Amino acid sequence: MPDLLKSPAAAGLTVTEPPGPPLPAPDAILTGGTVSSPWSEFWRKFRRQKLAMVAGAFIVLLFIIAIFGPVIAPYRMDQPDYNNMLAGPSLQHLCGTDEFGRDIFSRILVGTRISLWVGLSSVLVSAFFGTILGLISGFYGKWLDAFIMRFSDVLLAFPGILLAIGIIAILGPGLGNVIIAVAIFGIPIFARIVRSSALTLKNTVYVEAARSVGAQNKRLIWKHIFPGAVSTVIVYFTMRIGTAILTASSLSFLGLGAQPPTPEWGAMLSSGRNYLDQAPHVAVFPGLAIFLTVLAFNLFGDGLRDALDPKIKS
Amino acid sequence: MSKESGSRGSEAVQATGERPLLQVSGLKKYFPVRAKHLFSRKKERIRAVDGVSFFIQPGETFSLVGESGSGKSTTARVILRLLEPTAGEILFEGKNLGLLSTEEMRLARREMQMIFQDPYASLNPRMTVGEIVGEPLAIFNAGDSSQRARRVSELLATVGLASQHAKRYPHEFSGGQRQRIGIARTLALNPKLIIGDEPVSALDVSIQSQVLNLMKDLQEEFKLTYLFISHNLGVVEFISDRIGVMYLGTIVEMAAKESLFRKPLHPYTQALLSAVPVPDPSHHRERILLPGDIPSPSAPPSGCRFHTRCRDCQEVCRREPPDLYEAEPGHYVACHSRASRP
Repeated sequence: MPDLLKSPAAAGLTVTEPPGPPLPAPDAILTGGTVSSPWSEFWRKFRRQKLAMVAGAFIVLLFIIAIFGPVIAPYRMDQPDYNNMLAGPSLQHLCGTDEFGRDIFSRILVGTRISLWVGLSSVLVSAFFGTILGLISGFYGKWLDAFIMRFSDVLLAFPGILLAIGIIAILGPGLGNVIIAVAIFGIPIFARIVRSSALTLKNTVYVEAARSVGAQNKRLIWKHIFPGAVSTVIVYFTMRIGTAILTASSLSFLGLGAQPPTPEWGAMLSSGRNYLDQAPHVAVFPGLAIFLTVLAFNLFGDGLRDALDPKIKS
Repeated sequence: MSKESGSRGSEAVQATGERPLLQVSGLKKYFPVRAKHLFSRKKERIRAVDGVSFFIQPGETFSLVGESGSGKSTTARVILRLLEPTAGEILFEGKNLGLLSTEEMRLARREMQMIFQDPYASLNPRMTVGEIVGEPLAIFNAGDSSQRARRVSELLATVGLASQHAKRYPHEFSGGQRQRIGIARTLALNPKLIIGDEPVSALDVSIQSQVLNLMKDLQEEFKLTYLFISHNLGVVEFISDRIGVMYLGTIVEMAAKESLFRKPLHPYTQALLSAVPVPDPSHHRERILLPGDIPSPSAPPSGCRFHTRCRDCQEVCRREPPDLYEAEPGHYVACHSRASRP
């Protein structure tokens, strides 16, 4: 379509002098001359949230541990020491030892990778399918919407852990199946929030404007509606990681997830339960690891939400 | 599309001589309303546009005026098929838009673009100005990205903005500048018809004149045809060649600007014009006050829709809807009391 690009200048018309009364110099009206992108705006707002910043730093630390855990761990995670079973915290063993004399601190460090991997991968799968289903549901409406939403309702009607247990019962225990179970459970949640954003956004004037210049549905969805929903998805993504880690740990606690001797936090908590009287530290430290990780992701998500919410002006 | 028979009087409103750019005949748009009671079977319909006919010649500006709820904006959206018409015919350069498939209509929209009322809502806040103005080019794959960027700077210059504005986001601009961005977007594909849906009513009065002047200049420069929608008679008088006055989904009077302002025939038009302020303190004019409110379009009055508020209301007005007829050359009016007087 080369004629579309035919410029008024090419047609012998001058464009050097804009018609209409002259505008004030652009930079007299616009802020300072620096281009304020949505990113710098976001960062400016996020930086003010001290708690979320601390949580963010902790999450970064978790990722470093997840990558280098086995290297920085003082002991091998499966190295037993039968002379030193159920020993309390000391300088040699920062978090004490478990029923086989294994160093709990090392096991927690190594287990970080498992927890983060389960949390991230399951939520990634949830967010991916949930977002697509939500966009379709919200944008096209009608029977597709009814079908997808009723299906979500069915999934949401189960308590999360029960649904996960049901899925594990079908697929069999194991870490991979835990990821699938937790992921399926998260899909309807993402589908719902994305659908509600899509419903609002598809009725905006700028979507109508894009349609009136000839945009196809695919473009409307990905260029105009999805970017508007993405901030909500990011916030829920972060918050769901915490929940996913908790659910995965619960499943392992129940013996449905990671199997011994895998140093999964939930599984460690489960075996520590037997020694709560004599050696509470065996259960307390893995529990603390779960607690801090979930808390960090939730606080970080809260901070993201506040920073991404256009209604909160700073 | 003509599921229902062509509206009364639609045959009367045909352009003579030159083929019009746009010919609308018997256009109807009804919105179904959900029943208020759970078991109610009665279907209610809002008759937003109910038998509208008009034509626009190439290069002219045709305005639709009326109060809010009279169906002006709906008419505009139905013409672009952003809303599907209930009945009626829309001929654009002789092509019946109602018969086009969704894809054909999408391609046809290159020729007809729309400027929206609210410059704050009509630009995607997450896209840069360059992306917004260049979007029509991207949609129709016009040129490569550097050619497009050049065209975007050109378009921005045309509407009085600078090319470095392309990298900024809409929230950094004032209302008037945003409307210029919206206009630049409509110009991107060199359309023939531009529909302005109250393009200046959200702007400050001082900015309104700037944007209106810009639209006039662009019309001259690019030989554009405008369908201009407004409730502001002052604005309409400034920009229009011909004007159609809408009331409750129908056109009650249609004429060239001079003819309409000099000699309004319909009592509604007379009332509207009497409300236009005149910048002359010594000028005393009879102000015609309309009693009551505009009736609900879901249950429009019988006969002439204006009869509930008309000061010349007669018996026939309650019974029969008046046809739009040519009272004077090019001056159409739908009123029984005018019809009885030669």
